Amino acid sequence: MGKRIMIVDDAKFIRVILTNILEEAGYEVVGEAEDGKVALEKYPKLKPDLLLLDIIMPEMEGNVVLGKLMKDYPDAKVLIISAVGQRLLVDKALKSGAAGYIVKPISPENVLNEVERIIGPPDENTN
Amino acid sequence: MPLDREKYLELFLSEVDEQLTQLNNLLVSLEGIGADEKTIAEIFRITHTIKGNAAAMGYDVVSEFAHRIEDVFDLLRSRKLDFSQDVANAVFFALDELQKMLMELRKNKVEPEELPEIEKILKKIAMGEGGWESELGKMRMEREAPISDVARVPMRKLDSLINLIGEMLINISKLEMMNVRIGSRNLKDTISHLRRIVSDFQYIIMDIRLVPLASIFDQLPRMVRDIAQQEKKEVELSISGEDIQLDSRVVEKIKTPIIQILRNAISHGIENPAKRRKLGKEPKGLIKISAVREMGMVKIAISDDGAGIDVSKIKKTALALKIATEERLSQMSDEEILNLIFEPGFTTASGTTKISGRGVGMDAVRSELTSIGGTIVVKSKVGVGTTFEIFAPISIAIIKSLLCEVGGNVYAFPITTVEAIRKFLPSEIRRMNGENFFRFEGELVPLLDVGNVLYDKNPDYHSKDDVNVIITNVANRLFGFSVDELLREEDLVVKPLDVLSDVKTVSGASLLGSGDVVLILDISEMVRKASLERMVI
Repeated sequence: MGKRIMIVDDAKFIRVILTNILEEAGYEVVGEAEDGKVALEKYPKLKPDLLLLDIIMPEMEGNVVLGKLMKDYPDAKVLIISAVGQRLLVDKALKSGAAGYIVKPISPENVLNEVERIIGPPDENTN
Repeated sequence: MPLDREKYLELFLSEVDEQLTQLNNLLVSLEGIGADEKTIAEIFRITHTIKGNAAAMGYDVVSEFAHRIEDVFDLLRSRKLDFSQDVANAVFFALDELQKMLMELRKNKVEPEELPEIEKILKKIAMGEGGWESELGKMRMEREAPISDVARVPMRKLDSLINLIGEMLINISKLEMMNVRIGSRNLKDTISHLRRIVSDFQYIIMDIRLVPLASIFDQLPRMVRDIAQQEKKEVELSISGEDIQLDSRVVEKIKTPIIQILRNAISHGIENPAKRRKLGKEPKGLIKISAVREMGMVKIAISDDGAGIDVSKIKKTALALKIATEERLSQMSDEEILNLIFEPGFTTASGTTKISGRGVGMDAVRSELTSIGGTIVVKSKVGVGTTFEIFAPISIAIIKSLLCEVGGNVYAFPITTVEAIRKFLPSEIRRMNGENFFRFEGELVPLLDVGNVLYDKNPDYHSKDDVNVIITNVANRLFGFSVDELLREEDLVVKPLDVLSDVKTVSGASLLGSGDVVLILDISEMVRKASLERMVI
């Protein structure tokens, strides 16, 4: 099995960009969620190696999702998607157990560097 | 390695287009109902998404401007600001400016360098400063364009302009191919310049052809009133989304289906006042019509709070008319069974009109819609009501398409139906009950083969290294289509296909620069054909 990733962001556009970047690099995007509730439902079913999580979402804030997730799955690996000016929220997320963060604008290089740092290259143990 | 903006620009712009339409509609309704918390929260969320998407693309000026609008709604949300007429005017003005910025971005591929002037006023509003009202008034005066020079043009003249654009696009492609042999840098630059001009030209013509849905919706209250009176029903009609603009040919085509559905809803959906009282419902029935833009299409939902459609009756009729076998019905969900009312022949036998009358002409309604690349689905709950959802393209003259090759021929998938493109290993394709499936986002999705649907040629997945699959989404249902080769995206000018009008799986044809004919597939018909012949649904 390759490395499996799930993306949580309320903006479809961001999910499309991230999916393209990750899949072109050889990662497998196994699922998407547009809000925290769906994310928490899907996570245990999909068991991804990494969760990309938007820090600001309408229904449930990224940090609330993160808190709930880390409580039930302490080993979960989460990469925070943030924008300039969200330093305080990002710090809070890192304290609650997020493995790293990226800041918009999205650059493939930054995304892939962080993802690889956290879960390794896409095809470590596949063809 | 910066983000390849070109690749995502269209996607970004088409999303913002939709978001702007939503914002305008929400603001209009906010003006009508006053400062409603939910609406303000929704507007805040949308401006926030625009800000975030622009930031992700690195369009800092657009993002900053969206931020300014968001700030105003943040204040409205926390009730630190009243939603006055002046505030409304300022925000409407700002949305128009945002639209202009995006048009510039679409044209020049770079964002404007400076924030629009209205930004200063938004800032003042957000800081709680006063005295901006007269400044805004001046700005609005200056913007008012003289409207004395409006021309009325017959539609067919605009049709012929579209055809000419098609010819131009074909000839530009020919030039490009010639230059592959010649290899001139100058010629290449001129061709790409020419392509940009034609594309701007096309954009303007498409814009001229747009008419608001109000041109249909405005006629409905009177019509509903008349039918309700005839049928001795009491009906309230609520309409939203009438500002959404569509190609006038599309508007023309969806009018009859909408009226047909409304007629049925009043005659057979809504119960008479006495019965409604007995059921504990309001004596006055409610019919809602709402239009929203969704992924490059328009979704028009028509719902009533009437009797609903009884699935067991549909089942009985489908069996009696041999539209489906008992075995197949047992494998279908209630929603899938309901949608059998659109099957041809569902209405021909006697007695079917008794099924809440919904059978009347429903197959005609669907074929009218699929002929323009749209579709329709129905949802219903007995005792609660029925909702029809019509999906229609915004334009039918030019279709953005994904080209692919099957059996040596070129076919086009309308881009509005394409959810994703994937390559699968033959081993990833699962066979169950004689049908093929693959996994996509954690779901099992049926896999059809274009060659198989069109000319019964069986695909041989195992002789291939990998299988190209186009994943389509029609009315929220996913299907994969395997093809031989994926080619590219292209704007196709649609030529109607009189010769092939019996071939429902093809909705039109177009010419490529190479002179080759490309057939445009009607995806909902493809799915229907496959599911009727086999058992996949």
